[in-house]
Amino acid sequence: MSVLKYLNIIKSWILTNRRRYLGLIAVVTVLGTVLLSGMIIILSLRNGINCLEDRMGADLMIVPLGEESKTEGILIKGEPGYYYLDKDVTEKLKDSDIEGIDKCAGQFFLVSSNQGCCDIPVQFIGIDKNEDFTVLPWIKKTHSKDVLTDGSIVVGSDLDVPEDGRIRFFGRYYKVSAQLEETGTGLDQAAFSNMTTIRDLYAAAKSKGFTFIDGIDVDNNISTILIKVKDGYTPAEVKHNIRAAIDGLQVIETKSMTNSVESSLRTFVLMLYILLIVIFILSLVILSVVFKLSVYERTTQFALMRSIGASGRQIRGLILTEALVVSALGTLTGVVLTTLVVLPFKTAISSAVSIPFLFPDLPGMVIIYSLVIGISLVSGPVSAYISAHKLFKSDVF
Amino acid sequence: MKKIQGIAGVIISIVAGVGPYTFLHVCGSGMGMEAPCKNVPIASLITAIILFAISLVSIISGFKGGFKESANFVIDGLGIVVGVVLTGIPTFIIGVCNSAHMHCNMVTKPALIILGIILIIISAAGVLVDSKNNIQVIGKAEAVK
Repeated sequence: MSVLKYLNIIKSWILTNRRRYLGLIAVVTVLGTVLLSGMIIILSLRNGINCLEDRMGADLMIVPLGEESKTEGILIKGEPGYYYLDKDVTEKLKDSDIEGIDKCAGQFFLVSSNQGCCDIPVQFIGIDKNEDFTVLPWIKKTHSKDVLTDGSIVVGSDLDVPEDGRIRFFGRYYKVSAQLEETGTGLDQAAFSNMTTIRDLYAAAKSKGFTFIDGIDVDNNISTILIKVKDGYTPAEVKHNIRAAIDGLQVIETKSMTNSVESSLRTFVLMLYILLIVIFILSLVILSVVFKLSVYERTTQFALMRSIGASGRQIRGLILTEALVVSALGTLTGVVLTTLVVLPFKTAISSAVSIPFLFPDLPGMVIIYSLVIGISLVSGPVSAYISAHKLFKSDVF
Repeated sequence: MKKIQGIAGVIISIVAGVGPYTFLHVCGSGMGMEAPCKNVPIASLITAIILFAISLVSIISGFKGGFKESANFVIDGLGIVVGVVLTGIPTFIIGVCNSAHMHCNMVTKPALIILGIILIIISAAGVLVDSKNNIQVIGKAEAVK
């Protein structure tokens, strides 16, 4: 029997019993939808955490006492914030000759305001270009030869760069010299500059009437000091050394920040895996039961087909093809529905979750789609196999 | 099929009309700045009202005789045009804010685009079904002759 004849017979079955087939297609649709959206979410969370770990660059962060949660908000949730230390902390670190410190770089934080209809608060981070080891390696697109010159900024992936390559903050225009790769963290909405530019930004903010903390200026204050630990030392050891040498500082191990995010997500991801497995098994069970009943119901029809010359193998092939058609229609519907809902709203989803969330790149998405389509497609034939296999096992003809 | 198209059209028109004023809201203007997206709600509302009217006609129409086929194709065609307009409002017709994290860009724009695409698909399906029905009717008429 040719494939076309198979399909014509299956089409007549579907048209005769639309409700049953709609129900079967709905089951596979749900399976495809849940599998696809679940796997996209899981992979996005993993990508976000991995990117956060990679982007940290530093092993330790020195911040003012009590500002650990604000630091997490800035780095992870994208909640702009600021705090300040005396700049002499940097001198104290160098003078104390603390063991285990490989590199040291200071950063100065500012926050832009929401100036009206189309501005969102942006985290500004002033860095010393000669000391920095966390920002420059992540530059994706360079718009000019030299980045972080006076009057220029480097922006995160989420900040829109106008055609003229300039962005306005506090009434002054700054040239965008580069854009960073996407990380799925709060740093995607940050802008980086050298200390001269941040001084200019601070003055511009003050001229507009924005105040941060009284008595603060770029020359005498710093927001955080990032530390890279030498090989052979652990961050915990160097943290202890710093605390022993200098009082009144909060020393954060960046690994512990990412670990705490990871552990809070672990349970959620585990529940998601369990949900996916349960949905898959449930779908197989439902499909198996319905196909079994459907085959049993049509025993007379199949016997008639046998009597006019169709072989048992052909009829089993017909049943499996029927199952494949149902799976294919359900898979297509599920994949299209999920694509229409998840992909256009991905920015809204990642904004809403407030944890590192980075959608998979194109190769990753191709793998996810292929996997989901494959699993959903085989669900029908796998469910129908036993019923089809048992049919006419013992021939009386 | 026309009734199903009509009901779908009514639902899409309600979401497209009410949404931009509520859960699909756009940015507000402020501090002397006008948001690029500020006219999206009114444009969407006008389009939704037109779609609502077309959908109502589709649900309650009792076109008879030869006029029915033409009327069905007109309704389908209008549905496609309205779908294109809905898709175009946040993109090439009016547009929204550029910043990826503005609500109009994150939520309003994809929602209107999806509603427009769904309407285009439903109307295109209507064209296919009506064409098929026409062929069957013509076939029956030929047979009777």
